[in-house]
Amino acid sequence: MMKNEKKQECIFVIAYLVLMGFYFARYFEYYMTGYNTTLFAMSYRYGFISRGLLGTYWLTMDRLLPFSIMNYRAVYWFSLAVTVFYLLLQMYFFIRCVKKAKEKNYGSMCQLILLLMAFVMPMYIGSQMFGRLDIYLYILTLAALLLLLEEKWEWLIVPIGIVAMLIHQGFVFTNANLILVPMFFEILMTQDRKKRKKYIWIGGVFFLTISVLFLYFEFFSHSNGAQYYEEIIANAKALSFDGESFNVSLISHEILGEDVYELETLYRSYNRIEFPTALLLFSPYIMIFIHYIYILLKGKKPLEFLAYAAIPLGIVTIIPEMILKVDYGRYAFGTVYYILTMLLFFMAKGDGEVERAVSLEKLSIKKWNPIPYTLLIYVLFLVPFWDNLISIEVYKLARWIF
Amino acid sequence: MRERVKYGFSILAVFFAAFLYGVDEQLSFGAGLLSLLFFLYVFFALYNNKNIQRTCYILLFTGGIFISTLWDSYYVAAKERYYLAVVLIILGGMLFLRNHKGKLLMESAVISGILLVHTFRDGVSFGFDGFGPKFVALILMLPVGIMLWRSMTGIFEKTVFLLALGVHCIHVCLVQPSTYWILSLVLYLSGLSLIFVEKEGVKKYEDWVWCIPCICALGLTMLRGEDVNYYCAGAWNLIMKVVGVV
Repeated sequence: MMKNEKKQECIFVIAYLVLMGFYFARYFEYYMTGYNTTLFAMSYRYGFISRGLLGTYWLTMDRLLPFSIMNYRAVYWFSLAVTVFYLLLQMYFFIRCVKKAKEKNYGSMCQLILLLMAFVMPMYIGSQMFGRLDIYLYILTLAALLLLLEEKWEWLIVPIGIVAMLIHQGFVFTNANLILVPMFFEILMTQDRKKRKKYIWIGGVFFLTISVLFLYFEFFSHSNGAQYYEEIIANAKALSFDGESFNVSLISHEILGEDVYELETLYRSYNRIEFPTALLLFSPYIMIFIHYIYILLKGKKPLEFLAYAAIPLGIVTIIPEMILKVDYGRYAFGTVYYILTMLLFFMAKGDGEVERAVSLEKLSIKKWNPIPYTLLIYVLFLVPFWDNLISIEVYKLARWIF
Repeated sequence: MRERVKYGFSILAVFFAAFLYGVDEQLSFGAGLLSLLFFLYVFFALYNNKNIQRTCYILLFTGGIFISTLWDSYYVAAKERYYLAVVLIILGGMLFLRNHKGKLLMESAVISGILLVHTFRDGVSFGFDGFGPKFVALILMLPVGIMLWRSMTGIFEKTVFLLALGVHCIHVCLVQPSTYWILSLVLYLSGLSLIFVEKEGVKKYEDWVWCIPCICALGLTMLRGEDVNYYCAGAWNLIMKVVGVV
């Protein structure tokens, strides 16, 4: 049995690495955009600004190291190393989930992992998203999820949340749900009083710290940084591919405190046509998810209903971002990532109700779709998701419809 | 019949996604006609074959490559689509023959013949340019080739298969651009797969094994021309960077 498990793990690792190479070959353009390199020029030297942690780290390392890293080459290789690390950490998370799940759910877990990999693999490799700050948020989120899964050193979730917020305050809407929902679930469902108390404390402090940081960064952090403008531009240029490019709106917003709402008008027009089109293209998956929620919640007592309802309701944290900002590609990815990761997480924790709902949903799918793997193959043509655009394929269809 | 209709709808949904993946600004009447011919081929295969699950997988992989290539504006204007139309009609007709050896021989002979006619009639150019991505494309077709080889018994089947493969591979490697030749090879392997999936006593593979040709098929989607496609060109570029040439 053990030998068989080792063999399956080996096959999974090899398949995952081959797939990684496959997607790198297709989507990696050996290039970082001006937007993503400019992020490394944002530093706390110019005030306690949002998205300043990475740039602060970079400037500090530049001072400490015997060689300069304020150049494109250093930023590019660092971002590449982080991207590979993220994908390997994601693989480790999958392996841990499968190992902890019951053997009878092995097939379902593999299918969910395959589906999630279709979205995850190409997301941060393409030129639009390579080096984007989101990847650090997902690394930290995975670390927190692994702590929750193993039930070890969970207090580290609080500093993880703080670091994530310092990297990008969007964490509170895009990723915090992945950490808060499992803790909320445990608070309601666990019979162990000590455990409940632990999660109330950790969850409460986590929620409080990220909320305070979000409010600060959103309303009070924009630097009156006109005096630093030239220095920041010079750093941003030094880090860029051609020594000249940098992102104007990013610096205007974070350093000069200018509102960029008007600049995003074009992207809002894309969002308006892409959103309903994406709902149409992904409607089979939406119907499956709604039916799955129905199976999961049906016949539950009030407390159980509340606990299990939190799992699908965790998606709603993305709504404020969709109203205020324009990166619908990132939000679509965040939504898919949340749904599939929560399924994997709860099945790894051995939750009988989630396992039952997944099994019943699989049977239901086979009734109307005799080749269920088409649900995986279909998605392969509609990814990767981008940042402002959801995906090129969604955009093509949206333009024809509207 | 109702089950086969469900299979058909599932396949069409994937083809629509492949269409969105490959389509460019320009919609083409020729691509539309060829797509209809391909749907006819799919219909005949679903109607004729008994091993419906495996047949559907084969059609999905083939259609994913074919549809995404056909609607890409880079390929839309190519005159090779007339040859592809003939190939599709032949493949569709083959499905109704009962004898496996006969099907294999007819299909191999006809498609190889069409390749040779195209070469000599249209005076296509020869050269080793872009050999790297073509090599990657051939490697991606290797798993299906191996699965087919293992399904064949006897010297006759294997010889015919090798000869036809040889004609295709020479054209893929030498003739510019290679899109038509790769598509022709894909259709040839697809046609053979549909034959052999019905043969009695042929080795049946577990579900997870079908992931391999699925990924390989994805790597051949949206064939474009000199560089084959983004996957093959990117893979060759990555190999060259790792090796240190670029």
